[in-house]
Amino acid sequence: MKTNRLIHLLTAFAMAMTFASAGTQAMDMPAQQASMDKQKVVFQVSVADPKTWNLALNNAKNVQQELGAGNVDVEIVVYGPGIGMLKFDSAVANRIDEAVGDGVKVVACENTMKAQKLTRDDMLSSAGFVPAGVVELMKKQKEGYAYIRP
Amino acid sequence: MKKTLLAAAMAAACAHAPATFATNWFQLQNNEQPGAAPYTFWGFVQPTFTHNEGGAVSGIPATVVSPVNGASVPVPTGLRAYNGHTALFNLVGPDLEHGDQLQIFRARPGVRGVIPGTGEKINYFVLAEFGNNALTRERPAVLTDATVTFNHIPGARVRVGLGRLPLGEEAMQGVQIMDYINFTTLSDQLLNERFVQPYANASRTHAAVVGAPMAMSQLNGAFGGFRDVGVEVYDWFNKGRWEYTYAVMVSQANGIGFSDDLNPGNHDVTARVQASYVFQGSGPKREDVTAYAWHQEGKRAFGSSDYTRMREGIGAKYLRHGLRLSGEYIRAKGMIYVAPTPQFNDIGAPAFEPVDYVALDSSNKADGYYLDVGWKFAPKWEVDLRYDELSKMTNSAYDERKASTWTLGGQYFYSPKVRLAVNYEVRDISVVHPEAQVNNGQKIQGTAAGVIGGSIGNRISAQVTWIF
Repeated sequence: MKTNRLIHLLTAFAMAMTFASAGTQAMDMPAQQASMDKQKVVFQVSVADPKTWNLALNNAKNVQQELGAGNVDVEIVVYGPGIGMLKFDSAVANRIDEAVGDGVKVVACENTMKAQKLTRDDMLSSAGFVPAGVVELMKKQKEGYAYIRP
Repeated sequence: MKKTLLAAAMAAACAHAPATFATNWFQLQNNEQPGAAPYTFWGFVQPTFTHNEGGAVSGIPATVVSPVNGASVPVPTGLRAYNGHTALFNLVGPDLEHGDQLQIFRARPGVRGVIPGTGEKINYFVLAEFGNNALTRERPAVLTDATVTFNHIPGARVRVGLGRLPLGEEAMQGVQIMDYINFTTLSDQLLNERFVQPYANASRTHAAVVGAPMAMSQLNGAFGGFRDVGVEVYDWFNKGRWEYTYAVMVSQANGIGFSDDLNPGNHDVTARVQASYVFQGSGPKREDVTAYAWHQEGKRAFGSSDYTRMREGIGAKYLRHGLRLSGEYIRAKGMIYVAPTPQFNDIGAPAFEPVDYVALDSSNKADGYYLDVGWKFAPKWEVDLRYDELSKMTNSAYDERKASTWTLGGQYFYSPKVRLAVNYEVRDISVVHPEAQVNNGQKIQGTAAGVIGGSIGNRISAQVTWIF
């Protein structure tokens, strides 16, 4: 009986030490290391097909759900024929709002907007803007973003 | 037995709402998206449970006090016989047999698409109804829509066939996305047309007409379901975030019936204009503010005569950031379907035989309005509150009746294609001018009407919508 109690005490102590050690390691990890471990993904949308728009938004949502919204940076770059995804009358306007609210960055290519005579007033208020969609994709890949084209 | 139908009847409406078109019902129901397939099968089912809190009538008196001389005047046995029976508005339509009922209220499969080889300039829309409602009161299945649209003329699209009339907002929107389970009494009674034919039965007694002239009738065919067979010319024009739409429809004024039997020789002209400022989005839940006005005019055959029938309305709707505000005012002249009188299922002699009274002449009027607010406070949850009021026979103080309803609703959006809605309706029917009962006949019938109307109970409904 006494032997059993002693074994339980030792086991509990060992487990406590294990958790404490793990916690200390986490706290000691450099901030840069934590940042490097954060996942990053960029999606390209350049087709005028609402099915593709929905697919990109589904992919972004799934990534956030799988990895945790705080553990992943997600960006959707929209340009070319896909620009309608971010126009004010977009079929997925509410989903864009929802994604942005969940921390997804959604940006429109201003080169495309200029070519199609679109102003920022013609776009969804929740959309962001980049000077060139293709260059944005290149920059993000250089920064270590995974590249996905749904 | 699907016989006379009541205030809260139901019927119709619907139209597919593809996700990439705006909340412009003309676009949604009459046109396809660019690149649409030659055919797309779709539809929806709405099993619905309804519970009426109202019970049997018990207070129709044996006598009333004469407004002429103060004497005690006996109430006819034909009226008093209905004590102990439940008025139609406390029963679940269209069967009108039970106060509680679970039924497949709507079941509508359809197909739509573009006709190959036309450069997407011709598209079609077909929808059938297998549910248990006022459209199927005579047949187990009916076609509610069967249209072909020609998009050849800039600024003038042409739709031909059985389709929606350009009426008020409730009449135009697809019921599969309607925020309430039942239509307002206003839209249901003034726009969801009951076609009637003259009726006489010398072997029974009937409630006398003691106010404005009215005719005895019986229902004929299915309810109109806000639809008709005809030709509609319409289009919409965009200028930035503004969108302007017009529609004019010439139709045969027979509802969903393809023949001309219900109203031979007559036609309706219906027109609607609307202007929208689009905040964002598209589809049936586009965020915008829209103002509209519409007008319908035609004649109805009744016996050997034709009578003018007019309906018109004006309204507005706002939807932004999950908040919805809407309202509409509607008025009517001529062919006012008053009510089954007495408003019960027939219990046989010596009770008065219930008949559908209709006020034929265009001097007869009705009007009303509704106000609605909805708030989608979470992605899957919405609360709704609506008030609607209908006053019939406003041209005759004695005959005027007012029906008002507060509807508190909640919706749970399980998925984009599955939704649960629950409604609680606080209902009231009143005799507006009891002081106008100036002779014995009016006092008797007005008193009975007050007692019967006072028996109306509140109503609880729950409905699942599954769009496939």
